[in-house]
Amino acid sequence: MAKVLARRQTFLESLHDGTKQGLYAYLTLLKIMAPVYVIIALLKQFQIVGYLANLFTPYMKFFGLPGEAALVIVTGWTVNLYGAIAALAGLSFTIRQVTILATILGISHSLVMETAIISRMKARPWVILGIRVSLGLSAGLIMNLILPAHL
Amino acid sequence: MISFALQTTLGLTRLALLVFVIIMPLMILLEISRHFGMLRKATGAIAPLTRKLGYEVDSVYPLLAGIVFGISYGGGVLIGEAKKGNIVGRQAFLVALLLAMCHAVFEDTLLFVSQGAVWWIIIGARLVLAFGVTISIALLLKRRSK
Repeated sequence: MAKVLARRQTFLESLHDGTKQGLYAYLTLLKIMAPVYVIIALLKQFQIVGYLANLFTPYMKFFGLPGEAALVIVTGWTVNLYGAIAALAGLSFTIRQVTILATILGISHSLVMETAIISRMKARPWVILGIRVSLGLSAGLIMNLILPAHL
Repeated sequence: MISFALQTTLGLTRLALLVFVIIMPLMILLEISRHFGMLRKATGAIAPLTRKLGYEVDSVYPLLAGIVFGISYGGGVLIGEAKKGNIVGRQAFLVALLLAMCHAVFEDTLLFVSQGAVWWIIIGARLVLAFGVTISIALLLKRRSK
């Protein structure tokens, strides 16, 4: 009986902890996503997105992505995935393009912060950074080659 | 100008709600599984397999923790184990390398799925590539040290 009671408490406690942590994490994320989304909306409004996209179109086409995707990748690399999601939501992509972007960014994102964490693990952070970026981009190239035109 | 403000506010609200619906249940689920020590049980279950891949049992726990809960948590566990002397040198590098490419897989995948990505492609590609690269580098390092 006592054992059952103890277990139930643990469960409620973890439910409480999880909710608290989730809410806290969510508020932190909103502080990142809101400004990114508004900046992208402003850049779009003043036609700066189109200009920036044109610059990147020749490189992005290897990944089967439009030039705008470069903004999402750069946001993901420098800020984090939530920033990238906000940028992604502010622009428009096809399912195939979102899938390719997700593969690139899943492997390589939040490079500044995560490289700092890895350097605390004493595990050659620069080597790992290089591998992540090159593997992320290679994954994008491969995805573009093997994914069917319509997903 | 008003329509721009309205549209941006609407879009942002939609995004905020979407992320809320993803993050909250996930955080609660992960916290519950952490309380019940599911990771320790899973570590024991896959130990024979991971030993074949060249990972010592001590490094499998931080590895799994990172893959499921994220790099800060997995990294924290890894630093703790390293201080106790359980993980050293090349082993630490291999764990960090795999974790760097492959962490918080549920959270990351769900986020992109909310924007239309195909879940099994992104999670599959990430796992296959991350494990493929790590195993290749592990074999390379092993050969060179011989």
